[in-house]
Amino acid sequence: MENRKAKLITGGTLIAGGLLISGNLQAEELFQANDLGSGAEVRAELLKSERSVINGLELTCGESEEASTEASCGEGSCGEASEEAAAEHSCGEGSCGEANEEAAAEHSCGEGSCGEASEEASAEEHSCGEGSCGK
Amino acid sequence: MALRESTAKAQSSFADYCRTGETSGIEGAREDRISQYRRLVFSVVQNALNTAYPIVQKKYMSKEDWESLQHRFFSNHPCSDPQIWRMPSELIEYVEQQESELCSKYPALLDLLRFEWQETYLFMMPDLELPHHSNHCPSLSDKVVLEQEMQLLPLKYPVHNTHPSKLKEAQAGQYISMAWRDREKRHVHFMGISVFFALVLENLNTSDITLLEAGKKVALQFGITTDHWKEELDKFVAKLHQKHLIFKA
Repeated sequence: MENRKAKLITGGTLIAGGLLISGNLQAEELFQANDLGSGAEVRAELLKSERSVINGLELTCGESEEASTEASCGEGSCGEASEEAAAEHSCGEGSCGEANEEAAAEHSCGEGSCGEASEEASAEEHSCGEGSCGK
Repeated sequence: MALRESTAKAQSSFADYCRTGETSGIEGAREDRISQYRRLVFSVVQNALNTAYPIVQKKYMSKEDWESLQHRFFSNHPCSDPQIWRMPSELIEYVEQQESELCSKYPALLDLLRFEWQETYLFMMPDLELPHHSNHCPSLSDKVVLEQEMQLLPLKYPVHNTHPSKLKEAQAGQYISMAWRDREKRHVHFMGISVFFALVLENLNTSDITLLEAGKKVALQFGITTDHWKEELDKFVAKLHQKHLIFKA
């Protein structure tokens, strides 16, 4: 573990009263704190019209039910995924297993291998940093 | 071992071809074969970008504009990171510096790219040790310890809580996406918070002061004259403590 203090603000600066400029700041806006949920939940919400159920970014480590929705892989393997479920999952350094339809076309591995895929998911469409792409 | 000059030149030309698709007389290369390399390399880049920015890709930009941007990015931007998963972060820098026309067409593009990258960044970031702290919820008179695996992202458009199709109607302003990585499950979570709270957290992170002192400072900046903010700050701190994001020092 590194022991250093993280920079809290990224990609810009905060201006006190930045919203006041717009002239319609309400008390509830001034003190709002709305829980948006996990990354997978936020994505599902923002992609809602097409995808009512998205299993999330960090799909599949191990075999538990919970893992199949939001487990994370640092350097692990991603198991079988189907259709859109795999669309938004990423692995640091892992291997992605069997996938079908558009799934494999959209997931990527840092340094892994992509396994069997079918239909649209031709080998040239899925990506591996330093791995092998399956059939 | 140093490469021969001719080999290095051929490698460099080949790399240029893979990025731009423009051949510049690579010795011994066959047109019908060399194109396969560009197709495969670009596919890797395209997949990495699509995976990193699914909302931009699927819901915000047109297919043509997104694909065209991917081509321009890969052709013109000298990607420097050897790790493929980091490469999409360079798209943000590229768009900011080189794609002003596209940003006019898609005003929330930069915000959406930054917002989507925030999750990947936090998910993959190195572990940061939490400083020594008690497990109690701090009161306003206490100094605090903040979760270090946490980030505040200032946004001009509310991309974190607005469907991309509605962003054209969204009012530009200052919004904050707060994100953190859960220390047990390692999931990244999000909360939309006000600038007031964001500034309080920033003050706590940069200065050795109590919650009350931080709150007073920000209330003054906002020109708030009543004490209502203290009650609201108290509620906010309790909420953060429930999520293990703030502790009494």
